[in-house]
Amino acid sequence: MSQIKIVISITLFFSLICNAQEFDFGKVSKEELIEQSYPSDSSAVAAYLYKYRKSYYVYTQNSGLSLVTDIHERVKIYDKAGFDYATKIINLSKGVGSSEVVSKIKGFTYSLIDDKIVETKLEKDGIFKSEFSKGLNQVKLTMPKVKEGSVLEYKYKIISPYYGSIDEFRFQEGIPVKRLKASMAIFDYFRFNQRQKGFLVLNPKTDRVMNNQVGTYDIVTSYSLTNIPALIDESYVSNINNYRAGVDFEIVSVQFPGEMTENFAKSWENVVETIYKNTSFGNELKKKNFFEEDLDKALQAITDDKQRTQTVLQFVKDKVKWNKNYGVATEEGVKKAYKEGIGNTGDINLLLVNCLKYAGLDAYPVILSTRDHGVQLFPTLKGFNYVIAGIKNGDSYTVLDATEKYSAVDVLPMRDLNWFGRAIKKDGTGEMVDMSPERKSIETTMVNLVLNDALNFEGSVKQRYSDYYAMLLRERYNNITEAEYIQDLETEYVGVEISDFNIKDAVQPDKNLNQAYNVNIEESVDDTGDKLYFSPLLYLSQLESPFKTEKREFPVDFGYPWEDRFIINIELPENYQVGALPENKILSLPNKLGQFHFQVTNLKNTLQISSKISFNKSLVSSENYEQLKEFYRQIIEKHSEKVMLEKI
Amino acid sequence: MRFFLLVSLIFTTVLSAQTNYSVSSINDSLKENANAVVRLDETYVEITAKNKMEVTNRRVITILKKAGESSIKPYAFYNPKTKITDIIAHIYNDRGVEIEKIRRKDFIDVSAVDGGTLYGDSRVKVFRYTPTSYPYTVDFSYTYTTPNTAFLPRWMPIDDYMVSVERSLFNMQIDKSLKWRKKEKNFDNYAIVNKSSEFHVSYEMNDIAAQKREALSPSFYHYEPQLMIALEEFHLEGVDGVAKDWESMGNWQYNSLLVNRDILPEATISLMKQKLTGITDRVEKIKKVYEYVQNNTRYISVQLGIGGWQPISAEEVDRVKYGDCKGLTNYTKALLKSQGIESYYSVVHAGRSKLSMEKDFAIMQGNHVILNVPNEENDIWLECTSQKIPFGFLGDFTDDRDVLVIKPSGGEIKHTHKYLNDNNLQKTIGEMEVTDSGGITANLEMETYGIQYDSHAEVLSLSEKDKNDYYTEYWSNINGLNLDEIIFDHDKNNIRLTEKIRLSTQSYVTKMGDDLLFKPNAFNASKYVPSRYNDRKLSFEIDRGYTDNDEIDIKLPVNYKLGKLPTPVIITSEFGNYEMSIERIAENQLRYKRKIQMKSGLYDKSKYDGYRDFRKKIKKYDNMKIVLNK
Repeated sequence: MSQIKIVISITLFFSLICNAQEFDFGKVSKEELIEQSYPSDSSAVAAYLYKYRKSYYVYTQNSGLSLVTDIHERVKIYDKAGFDYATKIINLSKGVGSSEVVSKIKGFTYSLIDDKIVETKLEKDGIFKSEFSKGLNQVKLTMPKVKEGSVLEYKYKIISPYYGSIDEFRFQEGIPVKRLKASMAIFDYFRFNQRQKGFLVLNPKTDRVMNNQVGTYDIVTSYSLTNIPALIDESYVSNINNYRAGVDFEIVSVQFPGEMTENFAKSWENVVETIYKNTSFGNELKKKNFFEEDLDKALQAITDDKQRTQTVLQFVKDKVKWNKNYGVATEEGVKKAYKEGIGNTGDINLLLVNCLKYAGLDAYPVILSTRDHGVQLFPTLKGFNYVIAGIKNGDSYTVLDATEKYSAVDVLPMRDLNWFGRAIKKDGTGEMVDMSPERKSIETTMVNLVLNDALNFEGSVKQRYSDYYAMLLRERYNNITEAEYIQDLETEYVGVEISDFNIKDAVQPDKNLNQAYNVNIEESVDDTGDKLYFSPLLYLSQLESPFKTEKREFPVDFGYPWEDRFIINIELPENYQVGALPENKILSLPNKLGQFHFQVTNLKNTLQISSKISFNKSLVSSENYEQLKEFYRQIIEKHSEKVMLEKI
Repeated sequence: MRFFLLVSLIFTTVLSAQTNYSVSSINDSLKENANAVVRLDETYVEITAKNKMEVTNRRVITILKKAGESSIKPYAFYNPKTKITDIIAHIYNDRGVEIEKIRRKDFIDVSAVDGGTLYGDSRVKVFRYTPTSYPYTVDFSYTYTTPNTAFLPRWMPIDDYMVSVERSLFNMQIDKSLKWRKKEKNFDNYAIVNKSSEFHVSYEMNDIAAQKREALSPSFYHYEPQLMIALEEFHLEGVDGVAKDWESMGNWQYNSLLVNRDILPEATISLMKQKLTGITDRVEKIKKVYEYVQNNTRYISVQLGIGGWQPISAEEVDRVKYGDCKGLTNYTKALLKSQGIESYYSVVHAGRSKLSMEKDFAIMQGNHVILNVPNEENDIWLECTSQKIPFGFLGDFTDDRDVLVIKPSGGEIKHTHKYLNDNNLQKTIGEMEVTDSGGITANLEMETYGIQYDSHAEVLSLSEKDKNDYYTEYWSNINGLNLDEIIFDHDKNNIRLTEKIRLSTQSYVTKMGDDLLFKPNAFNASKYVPSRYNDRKLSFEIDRGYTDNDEIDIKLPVNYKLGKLPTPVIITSEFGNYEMSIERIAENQLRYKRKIQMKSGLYDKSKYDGYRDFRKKIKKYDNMKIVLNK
């Protein structure tokens, strides 16, 4: 980051702007101490009665420009389970020359004892400082004499030399927030973006406020919110932080008086242009002579574009392994990464773009934000943390990522499947690329069984997996021994003994994965003397719903559309005939989002059962949750029904 | 001086022994079932004074596949007193050619304190290597010096499941002036070579094949060979110690870690006195004090004071009302003492797996502290870090194991409470009605004791929504479960939880033409059958045992007729017993009874298939269905 080279004319009269606060530090009321539970959420173990943050810039001649953040929080503990909130962790970035520091820590615990308010001060021995790692210091405060019912209050100030990097404003926490006030004051010399997140209406207020220190106006964005509900994680959510209410500020340009504007980013075009102009991105896309010879050999007689694409992907995967570092730009540079066989996502996938282009394909880098990094809604630089390759086919893109061994063309590591990416053109323009897979991942299981005289099922199973199913299974299979893999299958399919296991294309990512084995299934028939009962889908029955919880706040994210098909043929014993069969059934979610087909046919002494569950989209909105839950309930009901055989 | 010089010479030659790094030189028998092969694990310890020790460890490991990477152990711990003097790692490819060197400056240096701990001064140097292909070999060695000799390195030649060991060496040179003791544990069934002389400990073991992980196998700790060594005079973070046996070990710990740390302000003593007025029964007094601690303190992890072994003083805990296990136990002890009740600070190996202190070998060990209150034949044990656990209850965290009880007069090994078999009871009584539409409504009362109480009581701390989710997960076999009412009766005096639950579902019974088919055991049907092994290698363990008693009255729809009822089932086996019966108690009413008793014990591997058969039968009878005709 460039240093500030200019001198700001400063008024030496340093005056603090005092905001009138309704929550004065130390003014804890009896009502707050008496309160037994959070009014609108009785399950809350604790709550922020008040959460205050004010960030602003300060210039001093000694230390230059710094970003100051004032924090004041008042926490109510309702239950022992909320004691964790009596400890506050402050993370401070640490650099070579200068680091963030925290100062003016002040805290009190308030409890009601015999109807009197008793306060206990946070002493030095409740404050712990440690060097967590090379780049991070930690200060932890733990409040004294905390009981159920206590109210804790603390405030402190963080002074940061990293004026270009503003910590995210988090408005929503794991416990409710009764009252929140936050503000960000930015110098007139700065241009910035802000991105809001979550489902709350934030209604920010923007004011121009005279900054007496600098003599110009500050742009002050302020927030005032009440009764923010707790954010609770759910299953099938890619990253709960995507739904957390908050706001992120990004400095996009700085223009000090008499200086040229220094641009960081502003619009999507700017963001893309900035990334492109970054030497470890744009320049890296021109380098190719070092791999030409090797790639020519690999591509030799291959003319089909699809095959050329697969070959190039495999070529890059074989040449360079991923060092687990994320990044839009290169770390080592594509050439060095190629030579040493190791690199970050930028090294690997920009190399992939170069190789694809060399192979005559219309390839572009596609920048994106990974699942754990959250969703980027506004054009910001730090919104992107990853890059893959995309090949333009008319209106859509074929996407590739060479960092993982078992990913394939249009089958990416799960971390990539997040919202939209942006394909970057040479002229610095970009184009949106939908990261949710369109093609369904399909499991097809074919089972041929004989029900023998001992009332055990014996037979063979063939299973075929495509796309994401295949990738995930390859990762699982290749990370353990085959014996363990079979053991895991037997554990998953309770009561099934597996023999003669055989797997095909366990390594080759561009093919379907096929596995076959023989089974012996015991104790699956209820014998009442003259009648037999069994589940037609046997161990493949879906007997448990993944969606049991009553309500749901956030969409269900499967990651990719999918389909599970089971076809089972059962040869029945000769001395029995079919007495009753489950009825056929077809179910559908609105807009054919999800479908279920179930069919049983009886021909002489054989039964054929087929069941198909499919989802055409990877996402089911929370408005459809009730229907989704009911959809599964009916599937399970159907799968639990029995075939009845009668003795002849 | 010459002597030491000689030692370092030996030491240098030992550690620079040539190693063939190529993968082709590994014996095939060591590759079987292995994710990684430890080619060499060598520890060299040199103790020149009771407060001066140097330890060098070298570990050469070939990673055959990704899953083996967790066995690299690419880290070295240190703190302000323990200093890493040398550290280096080399990476070799499958042919044994060096491809990378990781020097001291390339190591990542981070705090070794876990996220839940407020403060600790332990740090760690780690390296990260991304393989470009498998297999590859890592040769990692480091040396540290420390004044702390209270813990000496142990030799544990068997590495981990799925990891084989080509060669493991342990050498320790102890100065002639120092007295020391050793214990060889579980050495019997292994080919261990002992080359020790009077002041030089030397052991080795070669060619240990990889062991597959098997379900229900006892903890590694119970059968792996282990060599432990202790000095009679030792040092810990500025404090000298002497210990020959548990008595003197306890005595030292008392005098250097605990003495005078139980002084309380007068105001607290009189407050306690006031709280105990009118109570004459000694146990009631202890209980009252314990409840005061539970209601007024909270647990926080802080590792301070003599390497994290000394408790925060009772006075300080009294002021801030928080502490770690040591601080809170010492505080409870101080409060009891102020009221004339003697109790003892006791060190334990906490965890679900029962690890005991070595009864016949005194050594600094343990990871947790509880309080022992002598009470005639029936000692009271107090877990002081929980605000919820009933008085005198330990649960599966510290039950049934040998612990060190520290008395002013010295240490003593005592055994904590056992919770076995019938102690761990779950008793369910209830009524269930099968509705005309094929659903059920039910009223249940589930009582739990012992370890079953321990796991069921966790539901008490859940939020309303999570409680609902807990029960829909608990009875995940019931499709579309609705919880209509949940009431708890938590009897902390008798350590019993009663869960009174009303529930319903609209689909439980399967209609088959005119017949109805349903499973009478709706609420406690076992589906568990342990994994199958063609050739099991390890013995297996039922660690605590339990008893479940179920009695459910089932009301049937009036217009249906019962077919033949199944005959009662009684299965007895050495692993436990199972009984199930269904009887008609009225025209359209059945009584379903089931009792399962699992016996805790360690069983030979040859009995494993028998145990599987037992579980298979239980699964079958638990999931049996009965038919109703219209």
